[in-house]
Amino acid sequence: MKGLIRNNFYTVEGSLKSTLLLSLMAAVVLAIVTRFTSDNGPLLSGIIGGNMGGFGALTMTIIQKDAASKWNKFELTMPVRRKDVITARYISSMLYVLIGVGMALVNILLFHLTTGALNLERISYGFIFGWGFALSMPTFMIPLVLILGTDKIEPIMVVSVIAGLALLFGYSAVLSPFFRSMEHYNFFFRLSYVVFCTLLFLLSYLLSCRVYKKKEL
Amino acid sequence: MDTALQISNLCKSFKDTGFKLDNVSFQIPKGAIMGFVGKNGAGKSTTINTVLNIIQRDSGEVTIFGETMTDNNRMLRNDIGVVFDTVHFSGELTPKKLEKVLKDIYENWQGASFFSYLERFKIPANKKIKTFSRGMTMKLSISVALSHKAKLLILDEATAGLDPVAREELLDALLEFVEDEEHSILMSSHMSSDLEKVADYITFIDQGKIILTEEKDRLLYQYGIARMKQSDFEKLDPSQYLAMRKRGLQLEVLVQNRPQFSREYPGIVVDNATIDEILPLLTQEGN
Repeated sequence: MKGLIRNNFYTVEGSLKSTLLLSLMAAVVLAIVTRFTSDNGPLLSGIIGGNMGGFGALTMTIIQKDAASKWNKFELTMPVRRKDVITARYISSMLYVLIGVGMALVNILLFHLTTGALNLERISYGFIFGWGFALSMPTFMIPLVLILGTDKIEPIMVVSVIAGLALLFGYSAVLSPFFRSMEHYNFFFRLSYVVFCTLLFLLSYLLSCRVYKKKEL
Repeated sequence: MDTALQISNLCKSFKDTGFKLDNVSFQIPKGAIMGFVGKNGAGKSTTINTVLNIIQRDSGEVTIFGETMTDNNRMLRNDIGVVFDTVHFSGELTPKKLEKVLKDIYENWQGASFFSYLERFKIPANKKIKTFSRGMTMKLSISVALSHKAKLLILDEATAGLDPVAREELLDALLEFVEDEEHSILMSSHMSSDLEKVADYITFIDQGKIILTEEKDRLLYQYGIARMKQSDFEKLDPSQYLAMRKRGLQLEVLVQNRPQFSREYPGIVVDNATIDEILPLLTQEGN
């Protein structure tokens, strides 16, 4: 398992470095823009969410490169179970999302050092949106690629992004009325969204294990 | 006789193409190299992929060192080294990074052995695999397969597209691998000259069916191809030949026992047979 995760990491090492660089550039842009605008909240939320989503999208790079190199076929000949292959892929995806969280924190720190402001409401919104959006990539992409094939990965990527956004807005539209009457409405609503997205991620993992068990390469 | 690989009545059908493996059965004794020969699309890679559980079999059984090959049998896969027709490692990795990956996967991984193969094959450890030539990638694949104490190697067209020097180097490594009589190899190849050099047995497959398994030495030194006219062919007892084909005015007939055939039909010329000559005769329509 450790070897599979390590391989996933090496495979996207170049893309990971590029994404880290983009993330740092976003932090610099944020620091510059804050000097000229008064309301930086939406931009901050967007950059936090974008950071996490950007790292979540590395899942696509793993799938693409594994299929192109045929490593996904070779790994079945090694002493690992099919379930281990899927587990390693989901753990790797989660690790990238967590790196995205780390980079979002770096962005917040730079933002705070530049402006002295700390808009917790916007930061929390950014993390909630980012978490759901970033997890939606592996959640939708991995099982869909297993079912439909790697040759359809680009449309699947688009579907996953749309599904991630639809999930956020759909969840908000359908469930927020139920939370509105509660005290600390925002906290409970956002917490429920995080739990919901994480549960979907776990369900996606179980589905992928099931599909991959019979998958022929 | 101890068996390294036993394939019994393996069946697999594909609805989209209509192709099927039809009761494929053969075995490889310990210490032997089995050449696996057939035309393009005959079922060699499908058989190998089915043995390796990369594709699911419809029925039949595959046992390796007496154990059934299943997804859960991880220990068994430690004993199997696999080399496909192209490199199956990410081009982004260097051999050094690949070594770090594999030492966390194979229980019996031998880093020192891997690096000594890299040195022997002159493969740079710190260059990305995507910059390697085909010969280098195949040597890298062989180095991996030989560095985790595998007892059975499965090679699917591993020597295809290599220059003669690279092929010789790979074949030498394979012969060293089977030296101790405990290690075995299943080797599918279009390069019949490679198989003639190293194989102990040859299995022929055509249209998903095994048509012949025979000792290589018997094929080369006992089997023969008799060339004759139609009138001579009509005098033959059908039990004395395996296959025939018409080439112009001449008929080529594959016989199992060249000396005996020559004694019984002294007027007919019988030549030595090569694997390249036997394959088209065995797979000729009607045979």
